[in-house]
Amino acid sequence: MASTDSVKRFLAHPAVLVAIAAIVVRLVLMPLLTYDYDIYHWAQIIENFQTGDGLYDIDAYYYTPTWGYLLGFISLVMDAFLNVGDFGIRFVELLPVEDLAFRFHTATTVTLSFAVCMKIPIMLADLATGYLLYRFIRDEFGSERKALFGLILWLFCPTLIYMSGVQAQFDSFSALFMMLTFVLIRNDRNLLAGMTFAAGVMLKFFPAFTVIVLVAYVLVKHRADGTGLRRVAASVIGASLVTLVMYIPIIMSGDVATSLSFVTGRAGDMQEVLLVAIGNYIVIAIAVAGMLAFGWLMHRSSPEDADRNLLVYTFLALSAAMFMSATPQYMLVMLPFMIMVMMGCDGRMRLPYILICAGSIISALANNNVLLLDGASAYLGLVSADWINSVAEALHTFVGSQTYMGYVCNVGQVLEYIGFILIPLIWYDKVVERYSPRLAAGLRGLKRWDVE
Amino acid sequence: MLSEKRSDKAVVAMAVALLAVILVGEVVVYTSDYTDYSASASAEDGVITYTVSADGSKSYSVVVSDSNGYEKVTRLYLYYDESYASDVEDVEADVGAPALTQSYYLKQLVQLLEYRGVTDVTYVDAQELAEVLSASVAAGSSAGIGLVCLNGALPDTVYTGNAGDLILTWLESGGSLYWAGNTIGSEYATTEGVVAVEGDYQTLFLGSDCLNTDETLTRAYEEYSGNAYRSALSLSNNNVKYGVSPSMVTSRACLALGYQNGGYASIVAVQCGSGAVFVFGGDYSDYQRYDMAQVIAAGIGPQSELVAVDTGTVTRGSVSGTVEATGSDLTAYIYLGGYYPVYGKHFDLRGG
Repeated sequence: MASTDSVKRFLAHPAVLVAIAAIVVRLVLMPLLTYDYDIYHWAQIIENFQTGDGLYDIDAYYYTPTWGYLLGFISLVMDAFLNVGDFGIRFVELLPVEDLAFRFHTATTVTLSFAVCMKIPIMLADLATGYLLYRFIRDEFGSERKALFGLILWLFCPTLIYMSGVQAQFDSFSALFMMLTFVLIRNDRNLLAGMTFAAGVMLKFFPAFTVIVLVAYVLVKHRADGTGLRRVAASVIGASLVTLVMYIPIIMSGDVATSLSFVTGRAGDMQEVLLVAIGNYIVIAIAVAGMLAFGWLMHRSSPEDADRNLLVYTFLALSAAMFMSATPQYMLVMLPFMIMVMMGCDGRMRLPYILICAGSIISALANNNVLLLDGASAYLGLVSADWINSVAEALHTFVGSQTYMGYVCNVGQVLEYIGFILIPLIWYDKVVERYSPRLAAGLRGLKRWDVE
Repeated sequence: MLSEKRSDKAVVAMAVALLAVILVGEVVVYTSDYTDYSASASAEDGVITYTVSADGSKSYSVVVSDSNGYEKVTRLYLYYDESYASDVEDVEADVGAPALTQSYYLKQLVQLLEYRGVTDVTYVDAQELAEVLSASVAAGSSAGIGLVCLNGALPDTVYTGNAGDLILTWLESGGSLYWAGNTIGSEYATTEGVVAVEGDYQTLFLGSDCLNTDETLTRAYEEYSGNAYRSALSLSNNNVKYGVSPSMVTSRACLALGYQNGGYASIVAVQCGSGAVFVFGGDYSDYQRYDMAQVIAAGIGPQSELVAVDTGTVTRGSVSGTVEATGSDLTAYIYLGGYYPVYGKHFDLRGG
């Protein structure tokens, strides 16, 4: 009886209700909408290692290994407990989509069961990150309301819903690894923090831009007891251990360069057009400058401010790294930190939050639009392939140098960049005031979302 | 304080669990292979009995053909010689993807063939190619021997655009040539460059003028309607550039499969003497490579006819079934995984 009551109390908890609603929204979307280009690569990767060709022997996997190993675990669960015999088909009626101006579309349509299998683990990462975020805000800022609102801002960010419920992009895991590292390092779990940090960097490299902030935090926090260096060493050992374990097979097969090809490939692309190359070097310079500057500011912090500054400078370092690309999913690694800062330090981050969330979902939907219905057409017959082809062709018609959807995508990216730019301006409005009192006044007058 | 401790324990447990998941996943990635699957088949009195097994869950297809005398390739040579010129188009790769060069294409093809049961594969350079082709011609039959050429131009050690060239003699004696990446026979390669062939190169290889030389005629949006091999073998490449029009092949056995556009098919096998020429349409692509591996492993040739297809799903165990089929030279190709195949095996059922 007592246990029934506690279950009832648990299920009636507002945070649990929010989580349940988030799950329902995603579960509804999972079979209906899918972006096939990314997910058909996940199927290809699983096929490749199931034949004994590891991650890199046959073309499909271009990242450092963490996501590949997560796919390894997912395939283990699928093989042990599920009945997903077919990963996908070549949907002949949809072949014209492969000739659209935005070339990241395919008629290779994964089955609904495979799509759901890929999306559920990403949804679990959303929930785990939400749990960490909720606990942190509640414990740190002493407000259940703030914690609940923060959880809603996280779980109902449209881009997060889209990435776990539709696109099956794994940046939710990036956010989870970054949050784990953040909480563990605050709790002096340095060895483990080093491990989660390394695993996160080997998923997508954005967390690497916080390394100086994290190291400086440990040194500042333990300046008085003199254990800072020893603790940093523990983190380095943890990170090295995980890197070594994850990379041993890759080193043995001589695939280290291939495993870094997504990063080096992006760098290679940058050389082609001079203006684009210059622009790309500028945004990389911003990211590196952010890493160094916020690391230095962290190092200058007093031990009393260390905990608060760790949150702020981790957020600012990640936001600087975001300048490198407004690809919709990348900002998810920063989002929990933005929400925590909004709830605990500066509610004016509301505007950047809105701009970045709106901009990223606009870009994602502009690029993929009706093509998200490929699976619904192939397996559920909800819409005809002819309809998808004709609408997609119309949306991808060139007007000047861009397609209609290209322009809409650009609008989304501009919104995101305005959001990225506003973050340091809002945080450093006192510095802004020296140069533009009007702008600073405008920034000070921004609406807040801090549930005060 | 107690609550803080509990919270910390939960975080530690979450981190450890996540790292453990990655470690287990790593073990899965590097210990899985195609030996987790198997298949067998036999024939008796017009009934083929098969068994497939899998550790996990996989769809399977049993593709029964009558090869009508075509002998499946069991020894495969891959031509690759960096000292000789080549003529193939560069293709765009995904961000981070290695460039799909000839050597990378071949390396991956070898791996795709391995788990489809084709393991006797040897690289040859221009000189070695001439030697192995000469040897098999001298032996009286080249049946069962295949050659993959992705160079865009055969080397001058075997081809110079003349009817008496070694490659043509070899085809006459039963060899199978798998070709992709350019118009077959239109050029030959030397160490200095490629040389255009003046004569009627199409007739030399295919018996008539039947090649797609319109480089704007590329993507097909419909499957080839003459047979059901496209879905039976889960063929994916829909490009007909450099491809063959089966209706324009005259006086030779010919099998088209895959996709069609403007009368051209993405894959066409044309009889050449006792041998066969297989033309795969399009510039290099992953899909083209999958299809090439599948066609080689399935052992089908210009005279093959699709007799029966049986499909199903096997989940953590074995499944057996029967297929009624009649024909003079029955073969079965069983593969698991559909469009994402993880295992394939060919069975010669003649006499069953």
